[in-house]
Amino acid sequence: MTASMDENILEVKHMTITLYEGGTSYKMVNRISFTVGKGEIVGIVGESGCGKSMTALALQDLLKNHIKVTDGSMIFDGKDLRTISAAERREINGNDMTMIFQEPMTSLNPLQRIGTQVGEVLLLHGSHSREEIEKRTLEALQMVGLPDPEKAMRMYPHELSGGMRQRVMIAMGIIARPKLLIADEPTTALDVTTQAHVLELLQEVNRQTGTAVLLISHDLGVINKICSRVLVMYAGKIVEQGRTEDILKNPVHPYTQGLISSIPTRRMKGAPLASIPGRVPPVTEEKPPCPFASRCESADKLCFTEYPGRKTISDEHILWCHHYGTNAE
Amino acid sequence: MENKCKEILEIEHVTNRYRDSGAGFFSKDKMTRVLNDVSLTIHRDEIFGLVGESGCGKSTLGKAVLGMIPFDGEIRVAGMKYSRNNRKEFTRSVQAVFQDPLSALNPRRTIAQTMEEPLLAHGMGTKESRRQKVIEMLKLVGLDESYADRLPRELSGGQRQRVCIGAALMIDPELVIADEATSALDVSVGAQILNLFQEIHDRKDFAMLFISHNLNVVYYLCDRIAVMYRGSIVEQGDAESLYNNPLHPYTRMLLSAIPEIEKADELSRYAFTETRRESVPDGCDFYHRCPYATDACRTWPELKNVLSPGEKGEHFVRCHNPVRDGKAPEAPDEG
Amino acid sequence: MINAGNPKAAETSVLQTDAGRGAGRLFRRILAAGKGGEREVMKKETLTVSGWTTGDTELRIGFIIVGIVLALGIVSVFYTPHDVYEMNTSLRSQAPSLTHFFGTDNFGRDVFSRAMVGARFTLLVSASTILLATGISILLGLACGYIGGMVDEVVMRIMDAVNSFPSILIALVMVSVLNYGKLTIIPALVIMFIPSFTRIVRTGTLQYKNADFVLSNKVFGDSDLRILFVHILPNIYPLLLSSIVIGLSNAILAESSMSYLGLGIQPPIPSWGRMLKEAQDIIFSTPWAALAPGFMIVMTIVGLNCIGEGLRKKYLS
Repeated sequence: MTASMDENILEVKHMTITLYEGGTSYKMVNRISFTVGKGEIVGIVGESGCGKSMTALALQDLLKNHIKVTDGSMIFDGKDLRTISAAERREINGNDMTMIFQEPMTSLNPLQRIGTQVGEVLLLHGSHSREEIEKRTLEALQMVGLPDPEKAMRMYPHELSGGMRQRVMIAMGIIARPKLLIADEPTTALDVTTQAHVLELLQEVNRQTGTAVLLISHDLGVINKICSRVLVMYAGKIVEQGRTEDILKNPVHPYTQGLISSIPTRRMKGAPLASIPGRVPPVTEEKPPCPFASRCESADKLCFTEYPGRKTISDEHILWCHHYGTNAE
Repeated sequence: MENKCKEILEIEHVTNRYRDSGAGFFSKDKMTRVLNDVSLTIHRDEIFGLVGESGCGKSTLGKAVLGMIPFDGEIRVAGMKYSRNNRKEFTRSVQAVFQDPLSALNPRRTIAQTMEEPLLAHGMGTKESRRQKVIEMLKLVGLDESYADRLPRELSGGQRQRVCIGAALMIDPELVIADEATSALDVSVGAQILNLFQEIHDRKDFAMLFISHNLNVVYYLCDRIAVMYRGSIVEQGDAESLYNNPLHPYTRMLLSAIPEIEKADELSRYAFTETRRESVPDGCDFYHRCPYATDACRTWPELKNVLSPGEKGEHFVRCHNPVRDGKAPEAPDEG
Repeated sequence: MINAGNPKAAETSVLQTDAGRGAGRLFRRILAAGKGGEREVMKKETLTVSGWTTGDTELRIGFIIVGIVLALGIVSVFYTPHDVYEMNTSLRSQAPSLTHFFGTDNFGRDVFSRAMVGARFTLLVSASTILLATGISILLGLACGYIGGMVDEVVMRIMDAVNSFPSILIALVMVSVLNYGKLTIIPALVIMFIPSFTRIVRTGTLQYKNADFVLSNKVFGDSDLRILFVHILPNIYPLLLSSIVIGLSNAILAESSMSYLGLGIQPPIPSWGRMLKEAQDIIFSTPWAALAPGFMIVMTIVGLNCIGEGLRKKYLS
C-alpha cells in the first residue's frame, strides 16, 4: 500500500473470521487485508453472505459467541484491536469508532427519548457537563438535518419516519466525533429518495468533521455516490479493489463486471440484464481456491486448483484473478 | 380468446381510508387517506409499473386488487369483481408475487407442495399430472426437479423468489401482481429475477402489475408506468415518454435519487433540491416538497393529458405547472 | 478429462448453482480426484454445545422416565405380580420385600401391583382429558383467531369466566352435576384445560393469519378451511406440543387430587390419587403405601416436564 502507517486510521491485515458449528469450523472471512485512510470514504460491496457485515461486526467486536477472529491484525489508530483489553475496547467503541446499522427501528430504544439516546455516548465517554451534552446533542441533530432538533430531542423513536430515524442513528454515530464511522447497509431499508438524503448526509459529515467512513452495501450505485475507494468482496475474500471510478469504468474481475451489469440502467431497456448465474456459496460449503470459480464464465482448471495471485493494474487498482493479463485485455 | 375485454384490470375511482385513532387518549379519530380516487387500466399482456415511495399507497392498491382490503370504488379483473364468495373463480385470473419470498412460503411445506397448492385449490389435474406440472414449472423458472422436495429454508433468496413466481403462474393467471418482488434481494439476484420475469412474460400470456420504488427497475421491465404520491397517481404514461421526459417534479425527484453507476453528467441528470414548507390540505399533495410550487398549487390539480391530439401513446400528469420541453419552470422566490 | 476416481466424494461435495454449469461439474471432478486446492473446511478447535442447551438431555431423561411408567401401565393389562383386588389379612402391612416390591397395604394388597394398575388408569384419564381438551381448543382457538370479531369476543369472555373459578371447584361442580360414573372425571377435567389451550391456539392463529404465506395461499384460491388446517395449524403445533405435555402432567396432578377427594375413579379400581387417600390413615404404620403412589406421581410429572422443556428448547428457540 502506498499510504504509510500514520495516514491510515484502520489497517486490516490477513484478517480471518471463523464460524464454529457442529464440531467443524468454517472460514467466513478468509485472510483479507485493506486500509482506510484518515478522512476517507471506503466502500465494501458484495452480495449478501459475502462476509461484508462480518468484517464490520468484527471491527466493532460484536461477533456472536461461535464466530471468532482467528488470524491477522486490525490496527485502528495505532492499536491492534485483537490484543487490547476489554476496557480499552470500550473506550474505542462508540467514541473513536462507531457503527450505523441497517434497521433504524430496532437499533433505537423505543422507550427513551431521542435526545437521551443521542447524548448517551458522551455520558459514557469522558466527563461532560449536562449542558455540554445537551448542546452537542442539539448540534449533532442539527447537522443531520432534522427539521426541528429541539422538538426532536423530546420525541420517541416511533414518532419519527424511517428516514428520520436513520438520521438520528447517524447523529448518534457522529456526536462523539469518531475517527471512523462504519455504516452497514445504512440505506437498504429506505426509499430511494431518503437514501439519497442519507448518503449526502454521510458525505457532508465526512467533509465537515473529517470522520473516515467505511460504507458497506450490496449496491454499487450507492457506493459510487460517495466512496472514493471500493473493495469488492466475494465469499469471504476481496477479489478486486481500487478507486471507485477505476473499478466502475474498468472492472476487471468477472465478479465486479457481473455486479455492475446486473444494475438496470436506462440503456439496458429490452436487453436481458447480465446477471451472475448461481448464488453465493454458503459458508459451510467447500470453495475452490478462487472462490468465484464455480460461478465464473471464464473459469478453467487453474481456477480450481491454484490460488489466484495478487495482480496490480495501477497504483491502487488490485485484483485477484488468474485471467487478468493472460489473454483478455 | 374471443369475447374477452381488452382490459384485464380496470380500477375505477378507488379510495381507501383507515381510522387513525391518534396518539392521545382523548384525541379525535381521524380518517387517514391511503388511496385517493385512483383509476387505471391494464391491458392484456402488458407490464404495468407502479412507482412511489413507501407509504404512498402502491402496495395498498395491490392488496385492493387482490381483494384483501375493503375499499370504495370498483376494481374488475377480467371483468370480474371480487367478493368473499367468488374467491375461487377470482383467483383463477389473478395471482401475486410478494416482496419477501421467505415469509411468502409456508416453512413447513415442501416446494412441490406449495407450488401444487393453486392446482389443488382449483381442483385441477391428478396427482401425477400435478407433479408433472410442478416439475415443468420449476424448469421454467430456472430450477430443476431436485428442488421439488426441499423446504423453503434450504433455498437461497433468489431461488425462493423463483419458486414464488412459479407458484403464481401454475394456473396460468391472466394478471400477476408483483409487489416489490425484487426489493428484498441483492442487486445481482434481483437482476436474475427481472430477467426471469421478462423471459416468462415473452413465453406466456399474462399481464403484470409491477410495484416497486425503483424507477430504473420499473422502466427496465414495464411498458407503461404510473407514479403514485400520497395515494393518488401524479403521472402516468408510456415508459419511454415518462422516463425520458418526466413532467411532474416528484417523478424527477425519484429519478434523480436513484444511485447510478454511470456518471451523472453523461446522463444530464435532473438537479433536484427539496423544499420544505407546510402542506396544504386541499391543494396539491406535493406542495410541501415541491421547489416549483406557486399559489396555484394550493388548489387540487387534475390529471391532464399532455400529449397533443395527434400523438400516439399516453402521458398524463397531475400538476399545475409541469416541466415543459425538458425545462423546469422558474422556481418562485421563497416566501 | 480428469478422472473421477472417487464417485462418492463427488456426490458429497454439493455444489448448488441455479443453472448447472460446466465449471461446477469440473470443480466436482477435481475435488473427487483428490488433487483439489486447499480445503476451506478446517477441523481444529470445536466449541461443544451442552445437551442441556439444546434440550436433548431433557428429552432423553423425560422419555426414559415416562417410558418406564407407561410400560408399567401397559404391562398391567396383561400381568401384575399379584392380584390387585385380592385382600389377604395374613399379609397385612408388610414392608417392601422381594415378593412385594412396594410392600402391602392394610388389606394385604400388593402396593406395586396396585401402582401399576393405577398408572394405567391415571394415564388413561389424563391422556384422554388432554386429547379431548386439545381437540376442542384447536377448533375454538382457530375459529376465534381467524374469524375474530364477535365470535372471538364471546368465546374468549366465556374462557375468562371459566378461568376465574378455581379449577378444582369447577371440576367438583361438574362431577356432581354429571353424576358419579366411572369416567365422569374426564369431562370435568376437560373443562379445566380448554381455556389455556384455546388461548395458545388463538394466539398462534392471530400470528399466522396475516403472514405472507397465508396471504399468498389466499391468492392461490385456497378455501378458509384449508388455510386453517393445512397452513396455519401445522405451524402452531410446536407451540402447542410443549403445552400439551405440560398439560398432561397437570392433568395427572388434577386427576390425583380429584381421586384423593373421592371424586375420581371409583373404588375398587386403583388410581394413584385414591391410593394416596387410602394410605392417609395408615401413613405412620405403613408409610410405603403412601410413598409408592407419591413416588410414581412425582416421577411422572418430572418426566413429562422434562419432555415439555426439552421440546420447548428444541423447537421454539
